[in-house]
Amino acid sequence: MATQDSNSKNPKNAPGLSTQDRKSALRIFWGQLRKNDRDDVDADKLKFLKKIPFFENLKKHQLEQVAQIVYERNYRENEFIFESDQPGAALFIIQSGEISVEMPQEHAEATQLAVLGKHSFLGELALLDESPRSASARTLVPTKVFALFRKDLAHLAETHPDITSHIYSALALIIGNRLKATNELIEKRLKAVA
Amino acid sequence: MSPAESAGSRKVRRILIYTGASVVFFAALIGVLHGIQPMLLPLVLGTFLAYLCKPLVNYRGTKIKKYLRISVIFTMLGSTIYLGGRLIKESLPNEKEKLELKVRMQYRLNERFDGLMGLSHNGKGNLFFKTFGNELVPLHAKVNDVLKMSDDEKKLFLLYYAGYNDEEPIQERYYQYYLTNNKIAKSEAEKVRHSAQSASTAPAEGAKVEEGSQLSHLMHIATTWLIFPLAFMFILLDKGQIIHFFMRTVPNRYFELAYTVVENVDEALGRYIRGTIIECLLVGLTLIIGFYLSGMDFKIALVIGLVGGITNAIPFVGTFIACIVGAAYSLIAEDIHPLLPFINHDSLLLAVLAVVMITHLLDNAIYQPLVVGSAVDIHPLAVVLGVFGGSMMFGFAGLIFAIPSIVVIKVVTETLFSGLKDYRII
Repeated sequence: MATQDSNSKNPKNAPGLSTQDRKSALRIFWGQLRKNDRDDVDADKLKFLKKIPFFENLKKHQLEQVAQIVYERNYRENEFIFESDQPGAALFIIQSGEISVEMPQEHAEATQLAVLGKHSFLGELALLDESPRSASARTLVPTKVFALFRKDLAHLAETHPDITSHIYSALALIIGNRLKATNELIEKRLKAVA
Repeated sequence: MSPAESAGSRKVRRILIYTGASVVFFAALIGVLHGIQPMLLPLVLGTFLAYLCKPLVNYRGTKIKKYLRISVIFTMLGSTIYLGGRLIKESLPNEKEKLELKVRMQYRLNERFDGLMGLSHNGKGNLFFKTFGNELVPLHAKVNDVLKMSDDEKKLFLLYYAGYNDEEPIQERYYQYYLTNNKIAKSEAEKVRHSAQSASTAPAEGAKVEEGSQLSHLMHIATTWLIFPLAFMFILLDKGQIIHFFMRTVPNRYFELAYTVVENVDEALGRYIRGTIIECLLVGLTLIIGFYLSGMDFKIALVIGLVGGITNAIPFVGTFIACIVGAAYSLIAEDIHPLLPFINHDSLLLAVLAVVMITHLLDNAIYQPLVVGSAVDIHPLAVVLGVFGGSMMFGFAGLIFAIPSIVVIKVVTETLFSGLKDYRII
């Protein structure tokens, strides 16, 4: 009720507003701001996801569907996102922070394979099957990630196969490129040995 | 304080806060659940139906918007429940029919008993009577006691016989059954009838007083059951917000494991609920068709079939109930119209038993493997114990929740323990 009253008043009379009217106006202002803030967060999420290779070919409305099924997680420094040999269930996309991908050694310190930063992703093979993780992932600094689960993607494939076909083809491309790079590396090593 | 000590005390604080918050949360949850107890049944039934309709809503063969699809399904479901409810209500015997049924049951039971024991001719009985008479006669007397009409029922029966409440008068033959059952002289019956007729205006006044309380009762039901369509709609409209909300509370270490458990439970529960409801429908339908073909009145076949179908959610109970009720009816049935030529009054009992047996075989061989599958393989004994335990502890709600609770406990236990090992938490 108070909101309607304050809206109906002429803005020119603003200096003469009562305390209650001012509070109502403030409430409307904050409400609007919070709404915009929420929209901004969603827009930011979409903008961020658009930069990830899996989703770069998706249209806005398709990206919105994906944004609904990804989970946002916050990790503290030195926290494991996943550990080697654990069953893989999700792909992780780094929103901010740094993650060390490492191979644990039995009687020595883990061997660091790579350090990944913003926009990088890890554990993509979990989108295909439940095979165990081949390495561990540990945060080096406080890190924010998005998690996309294999089962959610499978559900999405039932309702929106157009979206998942893009994601799976991007995944195939990424895996194919990695295989090509590995083959080239092996070839180089073999030549060097020869 | 060193960084290690600081981290240690922070960890202790964290554990204390999490434990405290969990205790408060669960205490509040129990309090809320206790407070909204009457709403739990409609809430759970709404959720069950939402699970049942989920594949229809997510069906991708159409371009119709999701909320429109949900509205259409909801309207169709509502209409089916309304029309089905009306049909069932019409099929259930009214006050007069209940009295007729009682009289018929007692009469036929005595007739069949006398025939079986050979008491109808000379009263001395046959070999069967001489062998088992000592055990069966007291049992027969007990059943007769149960079926015996009270004085009020007798008055009401005679009122209906004379023509009461704008109903067709009770047929003469049922009156004769009544006389035989009560072994009273006609003059005595006339006396009771006369006294009953003089009191025939009394029940009409009482009806008005009941109307007011019925209205408030209906209002109470409407407010309690309002949650039913809301639960149905919101669960179908949910785009994962519910699970996202709960997953936010899970610590990072258990994140993937918790998701796997929740997803497995959701999948198994959905499959089990959908499978069981469809299986119950198929069993009910088979019983209705079978009984109708055997010559039972459609109304009776519908009621027995529905009861058998609904209770079939509990293994063996559905077919057992259908068998008992169907056999009892076959003993008192008078006007049967069998669509199968080889069935008559004498073979109706066998036909009913055959229908129940065929239904049970179809259920085990086709319905269950086809619609329920081996999604959640629960031992029938566990289900029966769970159902009876649930009903003893929580009444009707316990009866409904028992099987889904067993499914949840089984899937959670299985997934959780294997997951805890796989994720090297234990």
